[in-house]
Amino acid sequence: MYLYAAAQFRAVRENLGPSNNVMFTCDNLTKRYGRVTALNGLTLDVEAGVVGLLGPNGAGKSTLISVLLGQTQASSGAARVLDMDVRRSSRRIRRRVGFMPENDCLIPGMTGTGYVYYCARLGGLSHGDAMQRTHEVLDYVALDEARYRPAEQYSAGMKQRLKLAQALVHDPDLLLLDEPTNGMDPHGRLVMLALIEDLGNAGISVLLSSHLLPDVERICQRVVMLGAGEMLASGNIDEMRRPHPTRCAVNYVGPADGFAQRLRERRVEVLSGSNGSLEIELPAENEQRSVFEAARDAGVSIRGLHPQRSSLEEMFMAAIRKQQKDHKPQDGARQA
Amino acid sequence: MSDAGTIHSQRYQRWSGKRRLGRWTWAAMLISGLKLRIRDARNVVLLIPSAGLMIAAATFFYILMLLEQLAGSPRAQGLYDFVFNFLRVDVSSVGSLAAFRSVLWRSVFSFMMKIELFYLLILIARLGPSLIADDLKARALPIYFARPITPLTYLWGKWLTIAVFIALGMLVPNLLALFFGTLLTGGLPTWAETLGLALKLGVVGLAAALVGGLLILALSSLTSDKRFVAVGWLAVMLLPALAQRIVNKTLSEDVTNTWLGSLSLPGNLTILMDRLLDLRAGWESSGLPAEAFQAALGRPVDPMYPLIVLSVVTLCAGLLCYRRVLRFCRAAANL
Repeated sequence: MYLYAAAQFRAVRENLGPSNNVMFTCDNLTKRYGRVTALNGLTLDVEAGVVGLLGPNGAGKSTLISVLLGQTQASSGAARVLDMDVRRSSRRIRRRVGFMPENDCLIPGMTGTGYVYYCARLGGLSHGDAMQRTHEVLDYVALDEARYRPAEQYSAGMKQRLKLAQALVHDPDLLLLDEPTNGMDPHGRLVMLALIEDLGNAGISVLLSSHLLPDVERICQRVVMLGAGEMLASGNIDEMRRPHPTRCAVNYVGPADGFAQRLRERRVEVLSGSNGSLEIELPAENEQRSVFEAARDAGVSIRGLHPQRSSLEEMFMAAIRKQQKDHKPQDGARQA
Repeated sequence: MSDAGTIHSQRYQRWSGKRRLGRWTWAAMLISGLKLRIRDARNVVLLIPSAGLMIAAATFFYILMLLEQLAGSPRAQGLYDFVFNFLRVDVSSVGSLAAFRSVLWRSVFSFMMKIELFYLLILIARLGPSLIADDLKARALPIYFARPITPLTYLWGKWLTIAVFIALGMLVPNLLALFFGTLLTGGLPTWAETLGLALKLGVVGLAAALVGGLLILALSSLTSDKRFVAVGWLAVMLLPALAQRIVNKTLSEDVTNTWLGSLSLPGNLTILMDRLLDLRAGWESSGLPAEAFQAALGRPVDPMYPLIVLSVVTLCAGLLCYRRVLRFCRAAANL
């Protein structure tokens, strides 16, 4: 009786949705496949929102998604998704999560409508609801008249949008997107990013796994960087983008040629320039004085001098390099 | 909205409907599987012979009904010959055929089901291989296992799909033939006689669906190329039947007739089928001389051998496809 009541209480609590604003949490999560460690003591709390999941091939991104969906049991540690334990409530989690795989995953012989309807039925929707939602999400992803054509005939962009539709059809609270812009042309990519951004605004949490860092930078508020199954970095992108120690942007008024010349004389490298602004590299940290001296000599007035922030790609590469550097001595010791 | 915002005119609308926990997802899989296969005209054409089998069996019952009425008359000789040609039973010396109706009908079904087993061989080779292989080829498994579907639910949905076609090829024609035969023969006593037979036909149909369905699922889970699955299926079914011929020639009859059933799965199913229909006891109690019905009976094999073979094959096939699907489920995010 007590166990039944406890199970009912848990089910009701879990159906109410996330009690706090957390997308998922991992506590010392480890997953081993034989001798290979895919996830190594991963501990992180990821808040709701649009979050990027970055990492090189073999970093453990797909394994993490698999564990979060409850498809794979972790070797040790714990994980919670939408405040539900992945071990005990994997089916409840999957009811509220939408997954867009990297590969096509289209069922041969099905039209776009048939495919999304089928996915809706697999997600537990009744016939009427499934049909209604199918057309709603196909309208949303703009597969208008094409929805009645066999899905195999779709272009790469249409296939990606169809895959997004199937992930959305049961209106999940969390979307796991694996390379959603893969193989898309620039316009299609923008469309997909706009859709994901809109979904984030509609209150759906999105975990975006991608190798295309500009895409992540464009729509994600936060990122989680993985490398060799370990967390390299995580947090708000804007906060993570550190000011560059020597690279600055200068806004000025006055003759450009003379100013650039004076800067070079003071060993300041001019990286690029456009109307009224220059991107420069100082000879050393805290050498901004050289810029003001060059401006005085060239007769230009400085309107702004901002240290440049590193891009997501630079941050990512720095994190990878740091991990490799940290691991090298250990590897050497192990070999010795 | 960004510059790409024109693609959708309205923002995403949340939905507040009810999502069930996937209790009926197998039904969705079944309906989708049936629709996909029936959409292909060649598959529909392949299902037509099952109607032919049903008509043939019903015609047989009609002829037996005529024989009951014409028994002893010289006009019945042609019908006696017809029955003998197919059932290998000489019933011309039987006084009242109505008294042996039950065993005669069982003989008809035994004969029909042997043809149906061969027909199922082709039907399954055509419709079964794509069940899991196509999902593997299209890498479609993540759409199942990212939803509240367990490997068992997935297998259940797939098995039901092929089981429906196996039923359409065997159980449904048999039951319809029984129904029409009963209608043609008429009378409440006929209904009482045929009710038990319907149950036995159901058991045979279920056994065929279990063995055939699980075996083709197991083969289908091994590769993403359905052609290999079809070839594998035909090899598993036909090669042992050829080997059986060699065994029958090399081993003494004492061995093959007592404990060694059949090397082929359809052969073992046939032995069990005949045992279930109880033809031997039926004809022996008919009072006919043994030589009048001996040709209609199969080898008197101990049913334990085919029962063990079929059970082991079904169990192994079930375990194999479950393990494979479990593996796919765990790797779904990487597929």
